[in-house]
Amino acid sequence: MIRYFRLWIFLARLSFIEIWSTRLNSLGWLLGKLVRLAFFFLFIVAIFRHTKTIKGYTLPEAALFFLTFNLVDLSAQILFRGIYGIRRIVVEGELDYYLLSPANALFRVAFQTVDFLDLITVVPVVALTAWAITFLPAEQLTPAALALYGVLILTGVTIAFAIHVIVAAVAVLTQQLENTIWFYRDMMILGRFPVDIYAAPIQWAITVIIPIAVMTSYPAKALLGVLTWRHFLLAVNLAALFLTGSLCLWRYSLRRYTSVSS
Amino acid sequence: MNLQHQLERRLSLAMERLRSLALVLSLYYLWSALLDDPSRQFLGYSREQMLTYVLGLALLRSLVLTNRAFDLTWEIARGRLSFLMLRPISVYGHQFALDASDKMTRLASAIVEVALLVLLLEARLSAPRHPIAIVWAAMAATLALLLFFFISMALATSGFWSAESVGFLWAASLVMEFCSGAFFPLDVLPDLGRRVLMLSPFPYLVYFPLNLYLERLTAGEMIQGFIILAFWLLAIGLISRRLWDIGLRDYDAEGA
Repeated sequence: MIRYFRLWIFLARLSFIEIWSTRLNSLGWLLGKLVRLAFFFLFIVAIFRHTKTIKGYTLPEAALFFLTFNLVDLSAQILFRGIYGIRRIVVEGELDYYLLSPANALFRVAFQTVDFLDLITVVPVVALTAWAITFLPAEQLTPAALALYGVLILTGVTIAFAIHVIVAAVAVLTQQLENTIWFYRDMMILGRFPVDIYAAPIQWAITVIIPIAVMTSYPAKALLGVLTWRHFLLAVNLAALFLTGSLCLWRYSLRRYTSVSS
Repeated sequence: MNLQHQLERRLSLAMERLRSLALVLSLYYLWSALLDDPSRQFLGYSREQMLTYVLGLALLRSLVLTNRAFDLTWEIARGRLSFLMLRPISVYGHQFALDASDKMTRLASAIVEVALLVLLLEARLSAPRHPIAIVWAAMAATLALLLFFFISMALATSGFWSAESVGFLWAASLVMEFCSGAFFPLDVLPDLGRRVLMLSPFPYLVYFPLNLYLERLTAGEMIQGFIILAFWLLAIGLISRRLWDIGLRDYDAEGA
């Protein structure tokens, strides 16, 4: 475990050097991320100048949904950014080196890039989340509710990891599907707002097929005290199912891998 | 040729279109939730008008807000513009042709997507009472298309001076999208903010054509809008050409 943590620190250092070497460009990307966060947050605040609730949720509650979406999404970006380069790794034969090295190949693929720009972006998100939480009724903010919120965010990040592994496995199997990860990223847009706004079939699809709602809406609902235990168990089971399934698919893809260019 | 190239990569195009649906769906349901009572108005929009705005936005995103600034910036920064400059054609004309073919494919698929959404969601849309509104909206959208082309070309010139401008281009394009009303109607902003923003070129890319279609503007606002749009079109067209002239003098085909 310590060995892998040291390896992650080393990979993070390499990622930082890469970002620093193109710091002007990185500053532009960072600016874009902050602009997007600020504009959407202001949009939600602006809407509430004209209404008291959206589907029964007040401004701090709706903000909590949006910020929780960002927490889960940014955590996945910070940690699993390496998957975005999987197609290149496979097509250029770099995966062969990962398989030969004395470290888990999936670990190298998933964690080879640490997105420091998202690490900076997550700071205002955490601050705004804390701000939104202060508006919730005190009786709602029990240690149990906060712990449940934390557990469900971890569940969300686990599902995000599983989806990234599935994308990596598919890329190893097909050497294609460069858009798959972007498809997932853009589907995540649906998690910006409470899942309750969508029609029942869409709610079902983003809960079971691509569990965006489980990743983004469930933690906020738990903190607001409107998530049932049945839904909590569904979230934990889905995370376990997705993680197990994705790891099986990854192992299967490696068994089928015949080396592409070496 | 660009069209053929795009259709060769049909899966990529399909995935890209599927992705764009996510944004439209999220906005559609957000506004539906806010306007679940059909008799209610929000920001002066009826339910039909707001849902028409969201679906119209999907069409205008494909028609107006597609550009090749990112590709062109890379080509300039990597010296690949030289290949284009050796040809007996104008860089501007070539880029416009590529842009037009991109828009054609995206608009065609956006029309199909919107039609499917209308059918699947059983959306009731707002049709203008006076058919002339469609003509005004189409005219504004055409001018907006040209305006966005010139803005993109001006932004792409950043590649002449820095190979690291792509991040800033992305940030700029996000600001433009938000300020154009491509995420939400600008009426959501405080009145003063909206009035100031209306003096900039961005609201004329999406918000203005859609409001013309929805017949939400008075004759005075419409005339004023077209005058501001024409002014920005001329000003940014000239600035863009000037930046290209200056950039080409500085161009050293690095890496070519």
